[in-house]
Amino acid sequence: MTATIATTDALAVEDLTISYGGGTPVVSGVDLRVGPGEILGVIGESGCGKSSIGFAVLGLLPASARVDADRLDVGEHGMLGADESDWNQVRGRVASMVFQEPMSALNPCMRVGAQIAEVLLVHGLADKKAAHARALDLLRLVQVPEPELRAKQFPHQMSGGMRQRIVIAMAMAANPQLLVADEPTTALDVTVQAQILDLIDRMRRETGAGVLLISHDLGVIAQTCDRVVVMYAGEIVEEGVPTEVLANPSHPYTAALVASIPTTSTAAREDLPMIPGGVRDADRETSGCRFAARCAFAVEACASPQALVEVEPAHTARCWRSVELDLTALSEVKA
Amino acid sequence: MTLTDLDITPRPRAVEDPLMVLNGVRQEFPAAGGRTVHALDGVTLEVQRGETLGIVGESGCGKSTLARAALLLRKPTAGEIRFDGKDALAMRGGRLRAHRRRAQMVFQDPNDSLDPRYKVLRSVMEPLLSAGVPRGEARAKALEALEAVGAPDGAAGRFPHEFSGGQRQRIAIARAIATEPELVVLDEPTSALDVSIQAQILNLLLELQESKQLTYMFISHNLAVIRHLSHRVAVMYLGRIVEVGPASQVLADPLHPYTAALLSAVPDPDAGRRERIILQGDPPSPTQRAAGCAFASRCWLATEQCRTEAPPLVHTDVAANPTGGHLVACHRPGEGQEALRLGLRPASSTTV
Repeated sequence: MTATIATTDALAVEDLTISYGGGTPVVSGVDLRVGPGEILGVIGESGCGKSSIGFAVLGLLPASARVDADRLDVGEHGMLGADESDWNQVRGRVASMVFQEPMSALNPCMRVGAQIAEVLLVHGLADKKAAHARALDLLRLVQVPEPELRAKQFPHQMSGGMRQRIVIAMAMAANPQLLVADEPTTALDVTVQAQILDLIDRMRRETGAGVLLISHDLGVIAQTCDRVVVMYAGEIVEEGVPTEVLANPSHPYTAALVASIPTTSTAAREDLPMIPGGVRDADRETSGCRFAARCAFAVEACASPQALVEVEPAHTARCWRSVELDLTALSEVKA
Repeated sequence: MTLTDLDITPRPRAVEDPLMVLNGVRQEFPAAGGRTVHALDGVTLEVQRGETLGIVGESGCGKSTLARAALLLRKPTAGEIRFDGKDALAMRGGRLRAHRRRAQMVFQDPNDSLDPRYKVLRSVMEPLLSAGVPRGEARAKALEALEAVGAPDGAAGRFPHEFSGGQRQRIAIARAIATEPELVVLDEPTSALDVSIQAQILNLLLELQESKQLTYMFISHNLAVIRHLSHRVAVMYLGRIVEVGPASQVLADPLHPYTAALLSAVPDPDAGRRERIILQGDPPSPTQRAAGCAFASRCWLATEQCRTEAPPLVHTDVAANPTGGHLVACHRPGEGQEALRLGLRPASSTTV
């Protein structure tokens, strides 16, 4: 594969808001930037809006969804107000997606070699013969053993890890600038997860594609990403370098999330710190801090709007108390 | 027949006397083309009273089959299962039904044990009724169990769909503990939950174990969760136990290269990027029973001996391991972890 190192950002999103059927926005005021060859992690729990973001940047949201933004650039393509035919030019060619469940992205009745070649044929990037040859190259690129044999097989003849490699080969076929991976390893075993994360890392280094990696797994994010944004109830609450954000969280939600997960440094069989309650619709409607109702440090002033503020260079948090609070106490419970 | 007709009163407990013993348990299933799936390939394991025995392994390693065997849900092809000193496989009819009261299960998906058409109370009462507990007493015990797990007020009269995933799992746990079992088999009980909810359920499980003196067999692919809950850990690969011992030893100083690889593959938020052993390929099909070590086809340390001669599950160096109880099935025990510690890269490792 020829490595074309792009100079424009793979993704630039400003003030993205998404709502369904006129309801309360599930994502509000989100800014994201993925540089070429960079892996940006998006982390959060169910319902925080992380998957909606992944769908929005590929124009895959259902018609009932309303997407507002100041900017939505995929590579050098401005996609604000784009219609379906504009998206068809971008999807699969400039940006592509890897899902949690590889079977949902594969046609069970089509040989995998033909499925990979189809991406190139649809976009008119190769003739039939060249597309087939390129499909074999792609299978080699994603380290599928015996590519000639595998190309002739159907998805059901492969293991989950092998299928996810095929999906990644399809996603990389047109040499896209952006790869959106939504929980790409959640359905896989840990040893296979390690292989797939390794593969995604190698892909971005070799092709210069930027990656938006959506995950609920702090370990996956820490292992793989260059930067991470933490989402809570549709908003970004913290952003920075994973080791910094996870080791030295500046938002009480991030700190509580990190503390609630057993790790190598957690005292075995001791109670884990818990986050009381759950996210309510009202939390998405408040103009103040959305985490305040569950936050151990909330005070009256938390009801007023909060901006993402810099706590250190390249590390921001949406908590006006982040500078005065000592959140290390939460993580020390573990040690 | 009522419960009082049957002798199910637990005997006085001797400390050394394990609650359950599995001895050479094999479970085979017929597969397409006349082949045989060896889901459990001679599993020998003891479950001590009051402990959490963690069972770790990847898809298809047989850990869920092991859970079902332990609960006597399917008769093994071969081997012996003793529960509280008695031959569990010999139990039939009323005696088996009464036994079911003493060993219960919690599944990954709470919907597997809660019927959506039944109110919560009925689902929680069900195992009590099928063990022959009179209705009034069953009702009281079910309500007691719901309270013990911290189910919301009035939960008994509501339907499962009215609850969040975390609350539903609490109710499924109530169902499992309602019969006052000695053994609870937990099959990935937090894998479908968000991490902040996972913490709540893990805390609940610890609290119940203390207050009700439960014995847990805890099955998970999540090593961090296993490490957090388990006293002892058994590692499974392709239907065999490859390593078993105290959690603090197995997970800190693994002797089997598969355990070392598994541990190094788990992304740890505390560790960030680090040296990892990345195994090549997938586990072989359980229809192909390995002549030697089951892991040999993916092991970077494998020798000719490993491919031809199955290593027995044995104590290794007793001098270096004076507390005992750490067993491994490997011809080159400890070498995988040693290489990682010295920073020597096995052929298949990379830093990501």
